[in-house]
Amino acid sequence: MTPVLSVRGLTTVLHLADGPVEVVKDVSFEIGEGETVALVGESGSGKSMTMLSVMGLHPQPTAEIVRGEVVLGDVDLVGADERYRRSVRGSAMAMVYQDPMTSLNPLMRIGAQIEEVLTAHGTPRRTAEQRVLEVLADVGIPQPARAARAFPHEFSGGMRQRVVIAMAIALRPALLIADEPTTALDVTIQQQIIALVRRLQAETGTAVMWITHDLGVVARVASRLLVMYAGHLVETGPTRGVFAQPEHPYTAGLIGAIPPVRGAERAPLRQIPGAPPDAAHAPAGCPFHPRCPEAVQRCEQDMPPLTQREVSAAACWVPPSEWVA
Amino acid sequence: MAPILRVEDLVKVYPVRGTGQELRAVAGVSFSLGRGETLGIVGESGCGKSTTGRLLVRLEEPTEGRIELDGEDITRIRGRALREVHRRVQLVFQDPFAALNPRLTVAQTLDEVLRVYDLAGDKAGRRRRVQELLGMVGLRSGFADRYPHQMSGGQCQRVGIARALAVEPQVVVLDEPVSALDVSVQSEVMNLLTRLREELGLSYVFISHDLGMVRHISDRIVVMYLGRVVELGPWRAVSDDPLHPYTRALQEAVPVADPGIEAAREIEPLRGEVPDPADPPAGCVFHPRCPLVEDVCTTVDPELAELLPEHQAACHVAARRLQHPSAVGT
Repeated sequence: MTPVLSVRGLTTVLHLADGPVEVVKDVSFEIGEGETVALVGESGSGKSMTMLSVMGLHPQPTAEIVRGEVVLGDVDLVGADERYRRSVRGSAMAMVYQDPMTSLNPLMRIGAQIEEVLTAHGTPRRTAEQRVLEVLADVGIPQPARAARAFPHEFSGGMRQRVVIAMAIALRPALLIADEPTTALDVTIQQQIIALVRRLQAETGTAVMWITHDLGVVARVASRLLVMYAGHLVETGPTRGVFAQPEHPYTAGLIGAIPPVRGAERAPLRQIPGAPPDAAHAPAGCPFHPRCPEAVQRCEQDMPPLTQREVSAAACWVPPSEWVA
Repeated sequence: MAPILRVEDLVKVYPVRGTGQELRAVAGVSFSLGRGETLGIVGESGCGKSTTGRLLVRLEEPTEGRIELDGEDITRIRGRALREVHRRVQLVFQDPFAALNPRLTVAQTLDEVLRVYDLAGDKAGRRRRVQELLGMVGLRSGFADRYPHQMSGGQCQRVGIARALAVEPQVVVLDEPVSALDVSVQSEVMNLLTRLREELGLSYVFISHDLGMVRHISDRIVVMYLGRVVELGPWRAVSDDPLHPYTRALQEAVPVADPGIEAAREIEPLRGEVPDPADPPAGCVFHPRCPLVEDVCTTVDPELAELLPEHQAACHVAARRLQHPSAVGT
């Protein structure tokens, strides 16, 4: 099966006052048709910069893609001109951000904003008007005709996020990139949005790239996950397999750090000493080594390559069978 | 033994600007905090949990009701007595950066508190105490000279905790103390809080939207919705066998970091959103979203009642089911 998105060797640098630093380091992954893949990472992991690079929305000229390919369908977007990139953004791939107001114009009526996305990609006005009402109904907004005439501030946070999703799916994109779309919402509303995205996905076959720091959300939405740390992809594999048997100590640490919501006995939470580094100021060698309970001398000098293991691919010199923690 | 903190029918009303309406952020809340106990308060935005926290530390004065600290009524005290309450009941904030003065080093921040409350004696005594506090929260002595921007979020939160402990409080109200931190840092701060509670014999009120964290640290859990307590009981009963349909919905809404469980789960999201607190629904405030709603719920606000030993809930349906279990086919 041809993947919807294929990212190969993506490397993005930030041009800082004292020279360029890599913040996305040789990242490769694929997303298949209709698949949901979670990109997991903490602050400074480079997960958002990875997705901005994929969209071609990284802040230029400060950020620059220096190597790699982002193949959507069969076109490498890195090599393509901006006009082509603009034509696929919103149509072939669309983005939903954490804060719905990032995507919404506070001074424009909801309907007009969705219509604009449609007409900008060539939908005739008459058809677009009709489609606006359809997509608003699709995302579960009551009274679509009335909602289309409303302004964003008239809606709650959860309803605004539904509007943004309506806008994103209006052109039936092959890939939806959701960047922490539920992080700002209450859990009961988060649950509604997750259910909505799942339903839309089942109906349309859209692939979803779900960027999150929440492993619970990963477990709920994704069939596969990618774990990033300090700009590197450190583990990638099927969600169930990785949760059952993480092959990277960082992934294992993250999973152990979360207290269960029910059932289990209470035990001290697994600690990862220190704090995640900025991808721009990461330690040499494996960037996780100063926090890693399994680190050996080699980890201080050499970054391990992402290597296929039993259930997942992990970038670690020490196999789980030799772990002490 | 008498509780260290007790609140009764606590109400906080704010005027809504320009409308003449009133917003009851806290609408009649009662609970107590035992010595050495951790009471978790969980709920979503607008449920009144943070306002309750601010009332407990007397950053705000309640509109109605009563707060007792160690048996003494502190509801309306002012001046010197209020300052003493502020020493005995400390608040730790969610955003560790915002809670610290960016122009002060860690040592200056801690020293200031010690001076204000005239603790730890002279300059040398205070310096020793600053080092002791840093040690307590697991920061190397070198952190004394750092400014907030030179520290990570987790380190700033440790300083926030050290500042709260500097005045030797009896009660610490923790308002979302780990929510702003990265996952890998949260567990460290949680373990630190657990250790300090044992070492110093502290009592905590742990306020959070995160049911997993609340379950992890609390002895008893209070669930709030729209300014009210809807459920209160032992941690395991509330988190694993909730009586109130809202608690159940909240628990089911939280995604579990276990794909096996998640895949097997049929997700039926709670319908609707939290109503406008300035215009709460009649009857039970949860009824417009409740999967168990009955006629009575739309007109009569249920009392918080002890339905099982030590376990209270405010729900007509749960109350009837527990009184006449055979009458309901579940």
